[in-house]
Amino acid sequence: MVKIKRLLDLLSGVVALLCMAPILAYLDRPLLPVALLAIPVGYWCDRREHYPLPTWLATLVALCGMAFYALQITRAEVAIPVVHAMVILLIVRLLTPKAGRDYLQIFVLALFVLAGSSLIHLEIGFIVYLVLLVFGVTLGLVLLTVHVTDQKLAMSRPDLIKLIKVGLIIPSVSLLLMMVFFVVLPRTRHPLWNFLNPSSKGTVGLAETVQPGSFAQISGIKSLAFRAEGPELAPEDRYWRALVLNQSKEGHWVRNDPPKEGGVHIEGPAPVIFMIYPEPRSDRYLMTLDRPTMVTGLRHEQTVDQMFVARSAIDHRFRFEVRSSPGATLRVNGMVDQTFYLQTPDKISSRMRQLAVGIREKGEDVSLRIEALGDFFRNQGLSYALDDLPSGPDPIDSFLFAKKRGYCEFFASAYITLARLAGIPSRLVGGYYGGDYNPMGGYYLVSEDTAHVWVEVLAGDNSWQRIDPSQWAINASSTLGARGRDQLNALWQLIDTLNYHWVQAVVVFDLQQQMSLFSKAGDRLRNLRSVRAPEGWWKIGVGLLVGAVLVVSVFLVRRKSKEARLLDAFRARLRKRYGHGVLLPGSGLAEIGEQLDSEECRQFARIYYGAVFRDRVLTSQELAQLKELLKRI
Amino acid sequence: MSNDPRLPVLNVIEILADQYLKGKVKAIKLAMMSLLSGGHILLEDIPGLGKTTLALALSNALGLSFGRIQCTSDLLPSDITGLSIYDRNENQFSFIEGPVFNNLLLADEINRAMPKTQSALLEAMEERRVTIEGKTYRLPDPFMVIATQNPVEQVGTYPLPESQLDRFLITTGIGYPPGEMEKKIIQTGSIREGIRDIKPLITREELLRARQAIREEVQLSDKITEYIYRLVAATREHPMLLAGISTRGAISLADTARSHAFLAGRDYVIPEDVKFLYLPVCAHRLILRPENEALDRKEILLSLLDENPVPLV
Repeated sequence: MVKIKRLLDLLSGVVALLCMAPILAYLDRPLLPVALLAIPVGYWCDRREHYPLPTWLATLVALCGMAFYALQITRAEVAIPVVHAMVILLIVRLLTPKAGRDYLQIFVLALFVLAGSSLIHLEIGFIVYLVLLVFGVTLGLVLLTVHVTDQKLAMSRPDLIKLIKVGLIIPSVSLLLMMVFFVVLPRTRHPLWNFLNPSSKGTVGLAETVQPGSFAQISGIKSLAFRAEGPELAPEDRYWRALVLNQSKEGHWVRNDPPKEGGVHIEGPAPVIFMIYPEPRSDRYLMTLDRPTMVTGLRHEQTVDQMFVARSAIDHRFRFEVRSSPGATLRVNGMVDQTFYLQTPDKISSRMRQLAVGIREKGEDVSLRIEALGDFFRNQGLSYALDDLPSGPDPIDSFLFAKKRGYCEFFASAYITLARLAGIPSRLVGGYYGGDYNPMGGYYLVSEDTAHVWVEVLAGDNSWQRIDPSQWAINASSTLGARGRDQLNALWQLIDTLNYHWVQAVVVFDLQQQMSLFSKAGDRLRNLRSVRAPEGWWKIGVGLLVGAVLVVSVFLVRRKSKEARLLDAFRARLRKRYGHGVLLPGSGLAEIGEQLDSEECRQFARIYYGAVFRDRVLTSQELAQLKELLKRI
Repeated sequence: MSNDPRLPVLNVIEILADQYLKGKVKAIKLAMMSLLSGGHILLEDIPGLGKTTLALALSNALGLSFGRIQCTSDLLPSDITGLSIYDRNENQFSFIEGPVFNNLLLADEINRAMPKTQSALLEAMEERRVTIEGKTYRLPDPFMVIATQNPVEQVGTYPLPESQLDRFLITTGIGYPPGEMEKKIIQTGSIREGIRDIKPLITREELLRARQAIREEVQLSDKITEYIYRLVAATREHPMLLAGISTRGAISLADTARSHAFLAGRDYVIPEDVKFLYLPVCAHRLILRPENEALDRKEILLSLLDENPVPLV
């Protein structure tokens, strides 16, 4: 008979060892031996039902430990103190008397500690610990359900084995299912649980028309537009291009198909590669880092004005790769249809017309006019704002000369209107500016409220130059691109990193990437072999785990008594000597001796029975005799 | 007198089996075990196989007082226990002991006696005393009943009820002797005459000493106890049986197993002892379900022996 409590005690020790193994290297030196000792000592205490630590003292120790580590939590370092505090709680739980609730606490703490270890240090071994821990905890929970009915319950070995088998089915099946989901789910265009959510409608932020003055106030939506994985960029390069608007129509700037041009030629520094993970949206424009040269990873069309449009709707999660040269010049080969880019709105105030005439008079050279227009914006004292916006019949005029406040659409519309009046071919480019770089994940997080509009002008050398009039706002440095920066605290960054990894690893699953991960892991293992001296403490963790497995397996082997092993040898010997048919199941040794008429068998039975049925163990002398007899059979 | 309490008992068995009751070793052994364990034995076989001869031989060889009842349907309880008779000289009733006041009582064809008489005998077997007219008389020690019955005969018999069968420690058949031996028996004729000449081979003291040795020296380990319990419990759950083996049956199995171990020269019981006695001790105690009455009880027990492996570790 096996006591359920004994098993639970053993299991809680194993679970504690499993959760602490990956973080042994990071535990404080005074805590490390305590943590390691707590497991065997706790088990010993459970067996003796004698606990050296009185409950009040244990509670006090736990509180002190938690307070000590709570004080060490800083913005930069959260994980290690929290994990330490949880380890202390775990140690206290191991060393105090345990009832059903306490086992649950141990299991929960173990899961938390293992989860916490992944924040400190993440390796492929984590999966092993996790799987083992899942098995241990599930088994523990099953045993607990039995344990709560009767604290002193003991079960016969076959019953217990049945129970354990049932208990192990749960984690095995769920792990198998997880494998299936991990393989099947990412390969479906629509995730399996998509039926839970209606199909995404997309979010508003990037507008397909630019119409300043239609609202008195706008509020940015702090919802995610896309993530872009790649290197960190200089502030002046963080222009995410999506859409080009080129025609004015009833006070709006809209997109018409541009006239055909000769090819474009991009000259500039070495390209950078970004992997873009857009959120589902209603339009089909692909965001690219400005001066994009190539998009790969999905079916798309490229327009003459460097726009990339997906062939199908972006209604599910996917990713694509963009090759861009930020800061490169975009030169058009051949002639550009200047009249197309010089079309102006119908209603233009006289003040603006006069201003345009003044600029046009600066000279024939387009660059001089651009210079002059820039000077005008810089000197006008315009400020960037999202509220108290200009409105009325001619909001652009009001923006430039009366209210002098507005957001990027005002700046860009005003600029393009003046530029076109002044004879500078120009177009509006819609997209996003900035984004929050998450150094943990190595990607930009671009939200809808960073949607932005800027202008491209065709300079004299037939190259499109990017001009962002919003940068000339007097408060540009404090507003533009600085939005939302304060919200990016560590926790939020962490949550987003997890979400990002989920999207990256599961939703847009890429078999090639997984294979490269495996091959990398293989390389690491090969390197491991060539390492001579143990370097890292993590190896101690692995060593301990291997040791535990060894101890358990030796225990399992030794659990068979020497009598049982002797009998196994006896049966094997008889089978070899007399063939398989001789051993009837359930027959006694003396019977076998009579049946085979073998004096050795009779002697074996006599000696063996003489010990076993006198309720004593075999003496070493008897053991030697029996072994000798075995040889003679 | 030798120091080994086993020797005189073995001697009896050997001489009886070798010289007088050829080919009846098993029956003799069982009868001896029954005597050593303080129980009674029911010999169940067709007439003419030597049931009575065995009983007679045993009583002679054991040197114990011997009584015999030939059961018939008009046998009265007082014919067994004895009765008080008015003594004219003494002017009072004096008790005349019946055949039950002997160490060894042979109740021949017990199923021919009417139930009232059967029950008086069986009560005496269990209580080891008789109460007549308000006075209780103790029966001698050792006291063993050797009952015989013919299982085939049906007319004019009163089959023993199950509760009374339970009082017999062992039920066994005799069986036909082996062919060669039977030929010899045919040649030499009945041995009834020779049996009368058997000299007592064992004293009462030696018998009591052997009993004491079995009680005190033969060890019944926990594993064997567990094995006996398993075997007994299995009969209680068997679908073909209405009632399994009682606790008395289990005790009897343990007691006879001790005797068997003693006769084999061991001071501990082994599973084979239990296996050997499982059928003789248990078969007659089983009550079959009405729909299964045609079944052989021994076959059921044999199947249970197969299902419950011998404890070895």
